[in-house]
Amino acid sequence: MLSLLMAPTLALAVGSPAGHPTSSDDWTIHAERVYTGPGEVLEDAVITVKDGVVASITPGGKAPEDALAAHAVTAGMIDLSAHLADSRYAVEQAREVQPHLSVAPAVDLYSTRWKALAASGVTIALVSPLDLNIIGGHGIALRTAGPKELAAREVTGKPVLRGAIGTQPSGGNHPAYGRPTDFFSRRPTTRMGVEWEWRIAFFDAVAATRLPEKEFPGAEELRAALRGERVVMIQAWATQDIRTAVFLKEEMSREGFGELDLVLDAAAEAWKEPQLLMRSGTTVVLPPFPAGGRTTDQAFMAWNTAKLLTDGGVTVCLSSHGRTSAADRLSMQAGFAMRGGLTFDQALAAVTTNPAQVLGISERVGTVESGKDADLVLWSGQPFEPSARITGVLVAGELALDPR
Amino acid sequence: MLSIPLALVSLLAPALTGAPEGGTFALRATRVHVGDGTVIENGVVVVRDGKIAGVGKGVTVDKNVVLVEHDGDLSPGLIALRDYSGAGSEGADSTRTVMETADLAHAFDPDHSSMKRLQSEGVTTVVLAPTPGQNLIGGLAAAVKPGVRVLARGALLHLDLSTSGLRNNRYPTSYAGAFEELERRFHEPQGVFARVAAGELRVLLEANNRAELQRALAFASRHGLAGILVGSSRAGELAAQVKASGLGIALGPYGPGTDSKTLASAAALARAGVPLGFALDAPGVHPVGLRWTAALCVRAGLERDAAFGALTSGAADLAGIGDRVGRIREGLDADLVLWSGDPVDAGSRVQAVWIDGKKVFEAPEDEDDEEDEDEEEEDDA
Repeated sequence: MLSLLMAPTLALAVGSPAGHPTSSDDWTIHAERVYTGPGEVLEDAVITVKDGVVASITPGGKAPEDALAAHAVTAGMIDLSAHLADSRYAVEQAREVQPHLSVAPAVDLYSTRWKALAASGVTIALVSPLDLNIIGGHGIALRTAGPKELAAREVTGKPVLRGAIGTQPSGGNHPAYGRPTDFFSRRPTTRMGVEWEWRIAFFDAVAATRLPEKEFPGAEELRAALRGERVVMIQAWATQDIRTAVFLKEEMSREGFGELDLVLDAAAEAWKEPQLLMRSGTTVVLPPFPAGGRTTDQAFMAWNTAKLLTDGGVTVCLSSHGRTSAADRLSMQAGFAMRGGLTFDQALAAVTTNPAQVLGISERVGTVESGKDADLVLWSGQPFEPSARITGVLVAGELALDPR
Repeated sequence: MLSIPLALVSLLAPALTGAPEGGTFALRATRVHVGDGTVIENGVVVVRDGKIAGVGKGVTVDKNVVLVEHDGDLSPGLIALRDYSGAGSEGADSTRTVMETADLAHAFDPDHSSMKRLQSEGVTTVVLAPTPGQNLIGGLAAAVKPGVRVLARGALLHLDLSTSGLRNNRYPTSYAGAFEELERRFHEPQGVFARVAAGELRVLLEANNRAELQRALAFASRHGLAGILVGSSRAGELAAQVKASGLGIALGPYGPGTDSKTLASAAALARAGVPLGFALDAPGVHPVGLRWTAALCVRAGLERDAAFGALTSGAADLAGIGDRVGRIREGLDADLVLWSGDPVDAGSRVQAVWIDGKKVFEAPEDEDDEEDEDEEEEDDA
């Protein structure tokens, strides 16, 4: 369960005006427009927050004078590709496949990036292992603010198993000229080799149920993925890699091994294969919209990518892909996607309800609802408009960015 | 061995020309810092056969025993909780990640040129740790007396939970891999690990930033580890958690340029009741760095007595050698230092040093002193 009582921060204790208790996280917020969820807006509404959850939302309500004020309020944004553990120590490289490991030991809650991320309106970030090998291990979904303890910050939903297809997982590997000197010379050097590792991992995991000598560390996690108990999140930028990932899912299904809950991360060229993605029920996480069109692996991402996929019936989430520049923030991605044709409600879903659904945490977050966690973003104007600033952020009731 | 008639002794202080070389002798100092917080004014310490035979104000000294009067301070020898002196390239074996039975005592070279420098700064015991950057578990750290002998082999098991234990061409390359490997070793532990898990063998646990410290604390509590955390410069911000873990902390080495948040850690940890000691890391750091570290921590709020304890008895207790060294107490090793003033005061100078009752250093005449000081400053920079 989520920890609902957050310790008051030091920042709160300093310069807090009268009327707001500094010892608790109970807040009253007044906004001209509250976008409670995609397709729903309440005018002139008052939100009360108590013990970290939304206690009430009253349209046309009268707010006390000391209420936090905003033009608009949306639910907190969820970044499925936050890349907050990005040192080379964040993924074990001695093996290609290690579903039994977690990125958790590499997370640094003291990193200053958390504060910046929270201030940019992201209230939950999925931290994944780096994509330097094939199946890097499990990710962890964390609140962007709160106590500096993983257990208190973790948002437990459906576990996410992370891997990659493309040139990145084989990058840095080399053939052995003569005697192999380290594990990099035993790892794949091509896309072909990467694809083979994915398939053999699942085949061996299944085979081990009959042949115990085939059992290996992580086999059980792979079988759990085949039972649909894991989100299988695969980074695949270019069309050929997107196809490879979907074909892997379809092969597992065809062979009767199981159904993978497949989510493609950084799928820049997903717009080329909307039918394939639709047919296979694959969810897509898009990287930040590139200025020149080209992304990693020479994959081309057009401005109408989110629009094409959404219209095609594919579930789309937007992400920062760990970029920290102003233009790459998640709130800006929603605006760019609208520039490419997405409606406001579709864009809102792509940064709130869709990623919440992927993580299996929709019951607690993703919309502004009474009883849900108080993950809220306060805007100075119309959300996602480039001219609108994020003036306040609450993360499970804790004021991560103070609008006053 | 020089034998000095009692009557002449007082004339010789404080230059101490002809401080006793060894054997049976007595020292009387203006202040005797016992190491447990007490200071004996005009106290006398009697040394016999390398051990402390008596300490106090009214200790009677046989008239055939040499008694040296010293216008200054007497303290136990200083103890560094992490050091690399004299090991050179022998301080770590890079062929394997985990070498839990590698014995650092074999890397100890008492004839190495760095030993004299340690002695000259009053450092009489160091914990010789594996050279960083090679292993997750580099071996068993040994407590050694510079230039003299191994005091305790297998004193502490060294575990490196910082990135310096990780190499990019060998398992583990990551934090996740490191913990996977360590958990495997501590799951139904055997050999050295069984002794660690049972609390019989203490650990020297490396962790640098606050996130690494958190993980180290969690790991230590999962497996009931006892011992010393080292390398955590900002540990003061997690003082309560460190206290709850029961582990002690070795801070430093610090010097000019160490930031104020790092220096403030010592006082915060002491307030929380965390046992403290200091790391030295010679020969990369000049041995005067041990007292520099203590002095800087005092400047940032650490109580003077706490700093002195961390240099002597506290460090000895943390390393599990408190029954041998670290205090001026009857029966303990006669590792003694005569100072021109308070040893915690960075301006005080070492006058003479004994290890196991044998004189290993004596300050040269005043004229030479100034030259020496210049050299030391250069070494520090």
